Amino acid sequence: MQKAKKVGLGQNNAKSRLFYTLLVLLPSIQFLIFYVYVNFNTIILAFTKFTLGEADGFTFNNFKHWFTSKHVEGIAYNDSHLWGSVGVALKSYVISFCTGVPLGLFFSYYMFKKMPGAGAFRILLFTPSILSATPLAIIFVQLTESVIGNGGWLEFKFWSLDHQYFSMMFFCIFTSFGTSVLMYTNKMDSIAPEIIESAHLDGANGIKEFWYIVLPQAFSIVQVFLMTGFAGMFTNQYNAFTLFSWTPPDDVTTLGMLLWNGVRKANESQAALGPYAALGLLVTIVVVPLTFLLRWALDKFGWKEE
Amino acid sequence: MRKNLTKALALALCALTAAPAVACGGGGGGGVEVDESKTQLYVYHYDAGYGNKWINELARNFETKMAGYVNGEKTGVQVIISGDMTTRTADGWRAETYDVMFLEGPGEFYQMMRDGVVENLDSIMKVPNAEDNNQKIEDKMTQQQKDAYTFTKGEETHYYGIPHYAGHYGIIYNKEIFDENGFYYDADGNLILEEITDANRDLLSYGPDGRTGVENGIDYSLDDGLPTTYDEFFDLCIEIDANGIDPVCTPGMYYEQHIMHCLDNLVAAHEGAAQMNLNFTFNGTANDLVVIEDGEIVYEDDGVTPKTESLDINDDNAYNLSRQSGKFYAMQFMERLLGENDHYNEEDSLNKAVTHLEMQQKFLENGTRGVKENAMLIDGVWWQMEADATFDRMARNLGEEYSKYGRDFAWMPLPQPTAEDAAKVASGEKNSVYLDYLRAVACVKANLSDVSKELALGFLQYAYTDQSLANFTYTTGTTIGVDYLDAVDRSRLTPYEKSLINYIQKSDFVTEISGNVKYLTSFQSYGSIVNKYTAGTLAKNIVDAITDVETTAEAYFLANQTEYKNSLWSNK
Amino acid sequence: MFNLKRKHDKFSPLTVIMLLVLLIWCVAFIYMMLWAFMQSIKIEYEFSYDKEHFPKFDEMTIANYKCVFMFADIDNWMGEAGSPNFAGLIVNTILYAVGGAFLNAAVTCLMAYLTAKYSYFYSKIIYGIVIVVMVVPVVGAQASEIQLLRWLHLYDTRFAFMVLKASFVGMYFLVFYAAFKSIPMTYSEAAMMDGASDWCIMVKICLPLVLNVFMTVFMITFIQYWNDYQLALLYMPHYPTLAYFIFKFKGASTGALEIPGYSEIHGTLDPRKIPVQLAATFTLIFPILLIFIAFHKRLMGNLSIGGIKG
Repeated sequence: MQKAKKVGLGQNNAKSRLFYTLLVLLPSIQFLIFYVYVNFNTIILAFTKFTLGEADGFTFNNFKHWFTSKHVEGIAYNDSHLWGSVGVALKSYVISFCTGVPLGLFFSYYMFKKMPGAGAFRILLFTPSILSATPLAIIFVQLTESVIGNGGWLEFKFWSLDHQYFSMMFFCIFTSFGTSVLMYTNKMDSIAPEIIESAHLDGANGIKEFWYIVLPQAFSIVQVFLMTGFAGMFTNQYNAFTLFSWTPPDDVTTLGMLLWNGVRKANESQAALGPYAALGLLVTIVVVPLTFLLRWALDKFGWKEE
Repeated sequence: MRKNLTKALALALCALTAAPAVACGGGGGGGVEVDESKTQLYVYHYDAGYGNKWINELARNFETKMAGYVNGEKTGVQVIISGDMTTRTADGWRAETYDVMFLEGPGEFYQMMRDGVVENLDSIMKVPNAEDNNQKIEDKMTQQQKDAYTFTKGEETHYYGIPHYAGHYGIIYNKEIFDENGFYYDADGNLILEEITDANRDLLSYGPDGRTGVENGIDYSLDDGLPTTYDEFFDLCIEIDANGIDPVCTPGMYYEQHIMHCLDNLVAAHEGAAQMNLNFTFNGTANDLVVIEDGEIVYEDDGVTPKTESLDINDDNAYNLSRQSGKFYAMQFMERLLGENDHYNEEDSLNKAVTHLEMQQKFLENGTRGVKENAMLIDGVWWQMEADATFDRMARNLGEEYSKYGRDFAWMPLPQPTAEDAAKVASGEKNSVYLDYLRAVACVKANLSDVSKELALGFLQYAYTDQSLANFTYTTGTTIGVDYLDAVDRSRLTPYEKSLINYIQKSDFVTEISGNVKYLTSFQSYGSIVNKYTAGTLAKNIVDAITDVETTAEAYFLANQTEYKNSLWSNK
Repeated sequence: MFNLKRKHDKFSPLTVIMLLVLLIWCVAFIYMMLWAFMQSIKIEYEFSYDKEHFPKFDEMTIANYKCVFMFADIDNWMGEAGSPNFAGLIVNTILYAVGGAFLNAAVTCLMAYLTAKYSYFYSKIIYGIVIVVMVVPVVGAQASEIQLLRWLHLYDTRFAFMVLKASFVGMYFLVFYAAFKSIPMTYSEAAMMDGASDWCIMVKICLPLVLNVFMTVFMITFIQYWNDYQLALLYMPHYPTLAYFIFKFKGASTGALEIPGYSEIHGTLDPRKIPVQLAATFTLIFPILLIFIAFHKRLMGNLSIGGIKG
């Protein structure tokens, strides 16, 4: 948490205190109602037993559901895939980071070096992120199936059983550079020219310059993306819904998709939501410590800015 | 710069504050205006492929009929229709404010009956309706439907739902291509292969039903010359292909759905209504379960026909139904259909970008524009409604003979695996089956006010008069899953619709539903009967298994059976 | 801000490879969008036969776009009578996207200002909350949210979304926070000496300094809401937005439409055909592309965050 300095407005001033309180009040109430209360409800739900649609006591069954039975009375779930979907989520996170982050950094480096077309590339790379994913997915599928693949330009079958996961990840990474490149370039641009010049005098160019000067400077941004990406790993759908609609095949179903689809199917039924509320809690319990562990590791072993 | 920004911000704020004022005049919100001089009836329908034309017509007709209805100071009835494609749980429905509901694939209907979300319909089901030739709605239903839509609480059993539209996927064939090329069998089982006109139509065999001519309003000649066995079907496919025509096509975007559901129909064709029903009732004797020993199928001496055995089926051992020989044969059918490129239009049928509308369009535009013709289409019974725009364009450009009334398409009775089975069908020992997987149901919300309840029940009763049911068929070209087809005026139908209705009338009707609690709570999903119980042992379904992984039908059948027995059943 | 005025550096092997990769990416993306647009002005059935080539002149039509607009004019395109027409959709969308984005950005900005500039204990709590909420995934809260909205009589009203979005948690809190922290305290201290009130300092001194950041965040959020259909569908089903309309378009069950000037020759047009679907998506994309072209510098310039430091 930010170290509070002894400077700041409104030190021991009743008027300032009132001003602060009045302004902070409404957003805080909104937060209490629409975040705290709503999520508290969900936590309660995870432990609530339902009989004939009515809340009826306390239970751990919503948690056990994910480890033992494959069925809650009244609703047939296709949840046999829980562990598989955790695997898909992990795999997708690793793949998107191993390809997306280096590519994004290299792209940003190119722009940072003001090479020809840098400005135009930067704008174009950002364009997919302002467009809704659904139309992009429609276009991508039409193009890969009818023009590029299936013996059009290539013999490759993009959406066959063997290739559909590859195609989905390709689509995700292809459209993912917008925000990351934006943030990297903004950050790299704040590197003092003197540092670069002195590095040049020392003979650092190309890869060396990238590795020893630029990367450490941009690493704080990479760290933010790594961490939010990690925290979001189990809620991210990796476009499975936009590409495969309601019934994505098992090998592209991430935990995020499983959860989202389950919640959608359960609709407004509290009883049916129970197991999903429980799963959400489980995810939180697992992800939060891991995220902080990751942060610790990045702080300890990652590049340092100064 | 700063000034421009401030301006932009001010504009944004203006837009924000002015918009509600505009909206009040402009009507950005949905919802129909309520006519205060009339009594309202709120009707929900699942807004899917059947569209909403039929329900709008039904509502207007009901309003006309009820013009003189008096409720306090109000005269007349206003039917307000809503629709979406959101599935809701029983609780979800309880929270809604609809009086009458037309649902599809009612996964939660059992719970709705049990939890008292829907109203007792006995007063319209069991009482003769003077406005419908004194018929009872109950009498238009099969026993299976009666079991599924009644519920027993304590000593009392009541009706809570009425089956609504019914349909499935099957094969539609282009009769024009069949006639032109003589793609029919003669009585000796040989392909004719010369143009068939009214003059030489008597060359044709009597087809799968083994009869010809019209009896009791049913035309038995419509299937004449069509293949009766799988062998005949595939011989025909090879012949069609040799003529430069693609035998079978299906839209690649939905190929799983189309092919898997067609597979179910192949199962039903072989099993017959009674054996098929076991899949939903889990109660009765299964008499053709494939014998499996040490993980291998046991064959008869011919090495081709699997040995079968009988078993009394109950809730605990119904996993054995995955051994039904019809399922084995149907998988073999798919292996033959998909395993060799000769039989289907590979370019479109496995291309994820090809929609059902596009495939229908190509099917209709056969042979024009140098595109390969397609003789048969795997699609839902409602395909003609979806292809409306293409029919319309062709009729405008090429003449009325290209309208849906002028074109000649027909619903194909599915063939049998062996000549022995085909002989049973031809002799009448075994009947054809019309399978419904949509399981649409009409119901009334429980605990309505007296006025709303009276109107809601009256509306449903009106919707199930022969006249209203026939109107549904005229509008959609499809049918509702109750018995009324005698009342349909054939002269108002297209050739395809005639063939479909003719087929339904002569077949046994099976809905994928029962009153069995285990089935309703655990196994009633929207998927295919074969696929429903599998969880990706080899591949997601048999279509992928054959096309992508090159599995054999036999291997898939065995893996499916193991999965069903060991994993899925024990967990439910 | 990103500065383009510096001179080009020399190519190194790394930058040459990157240039190639970037070129391939750009050609692929531009071709993808151009292809889709050209197919959206192709006569629908011609598309079925030739998906690769751009339409010849006599295969071009604007009917696919007309169809999109006409679909909105159908009284029951939503599945019930009284569905809003195109004007109504635009009003809903502007309210939803502009209103939601403005409220969201304003509340976030305000809270970030208070947190950054007032070193009360509560400020630290708020900062902590933002970090924790960003990290903790929330699952399945929709049902409780809807229940709550129903209870507050906000469900299915225009304001449902705005109330939900008047929230300060999210990544942009950190952006504003960093922006306010970078304003030297001397400014406000000088003003305090002159007897300026807290309100004055905030409105006249600090907020104008972050106006650029505010506009950027507002626009990014606006674009996000413009493209979103799921929340509108969930919280205000009777006030559909353009994005929801386009989503609904995919499963249109109203049947084929008679398009004047087109149907006479080519017959009725089914909204579910792919070229019409593409036209619909471009109806959604065009306004955003225009906004992006006009404001891309602003959109892409000001954002920086300091990283998550505890």
